[in-house]
Amino acid sequence: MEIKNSDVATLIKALQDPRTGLNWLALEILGLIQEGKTSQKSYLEPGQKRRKSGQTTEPYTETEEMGVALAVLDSRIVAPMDYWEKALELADEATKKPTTPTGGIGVIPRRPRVPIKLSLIDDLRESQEFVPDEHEAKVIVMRLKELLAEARSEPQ
Amino acid sequence: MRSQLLQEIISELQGLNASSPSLLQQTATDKIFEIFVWSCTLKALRTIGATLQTRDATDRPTTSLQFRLGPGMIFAPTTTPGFVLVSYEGKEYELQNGLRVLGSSKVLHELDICILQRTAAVRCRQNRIHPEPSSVCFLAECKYYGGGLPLHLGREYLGLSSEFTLRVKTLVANTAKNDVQTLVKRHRGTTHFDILPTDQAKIDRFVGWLATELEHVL
Repeated sequence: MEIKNSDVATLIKALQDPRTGLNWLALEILGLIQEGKTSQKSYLEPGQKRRKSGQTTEPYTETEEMGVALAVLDSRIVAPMDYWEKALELADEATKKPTTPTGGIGVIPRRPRVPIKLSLIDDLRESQEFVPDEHEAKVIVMRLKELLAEARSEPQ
Repeated sequence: MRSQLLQEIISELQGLNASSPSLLQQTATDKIFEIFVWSCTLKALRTIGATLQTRDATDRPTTSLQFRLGPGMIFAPTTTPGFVLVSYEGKEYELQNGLRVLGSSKVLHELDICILQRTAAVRCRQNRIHPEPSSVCFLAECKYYGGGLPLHLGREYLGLSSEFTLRVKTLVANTAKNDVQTLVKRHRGTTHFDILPTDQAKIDRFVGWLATELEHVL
């Protein structure tokens, strides 16, 4: 299908490049753009005096195509880091044991709590452990977050 | 977009592939969203006063929980993730993720998040059999999409829903689509959409709903 926005076309080509290895992301962007956007439309049937309302699907504009691409990059690359960190925070909160004594007199020695550690194993890649909080990856994701925000704020 | 900005974005994506290729797998981002919803369920269990203990895939206590990209079988520790042993009001359960469970048609389904009766789970491990639908107390189907939810996901959820006749089951997603919500609601299902890590109010409402419902079924 033809992409109206030349920058989106460039981005998709780059995603499909084997060096980038993100063909699935390119397909997701293409699929969403191809689906189009639903909107309400009013129409007048022949012989009728009152306009009626119905739902239609329209193609995205050039500007909207870029909006779709940026939204997908954000949700697929940047946001997962936020989800992972929130999951760690919630899991840690939920598994905290009370450290205050519940009754009686005396000193109860406090043992340091071992925080829960979460990890994700990729069995298909020889059990490679996927560590979303790996420093280098985190730095790149944070940089991408800034770049995407800059792209969204550019005048169209 | 300025061509320099576009090139910078592309360059960072290439750098990410080099430094952390697993991060860029589609299945990884889907799984991370499941783990996030799993952690909300964990918080809800804590809220109702359940005692929680993390266990590894061989049912031994651990402080390091491992999740897996693919679905697992409860009796095969090399395929299953770790789980959380839940004690509540004198009974025990297991909070599981990515587990294969039999539906009422005897077809195996992967349940993104579920709570199983502990006695049934232990029996399954010992006898190397799959859990039956009667052992499931709660399930959540998680969907993570870059754009709006496609309608077929609503239909798929209804299919899964009919295989597990539970009081508490829900479709959870990071985004929303009116027609999916309408479809599921029409068939008396529940949905929780737009659950984002940046929206604490939505997370609190979702956890609150989970806590109320779990209190009634456990």
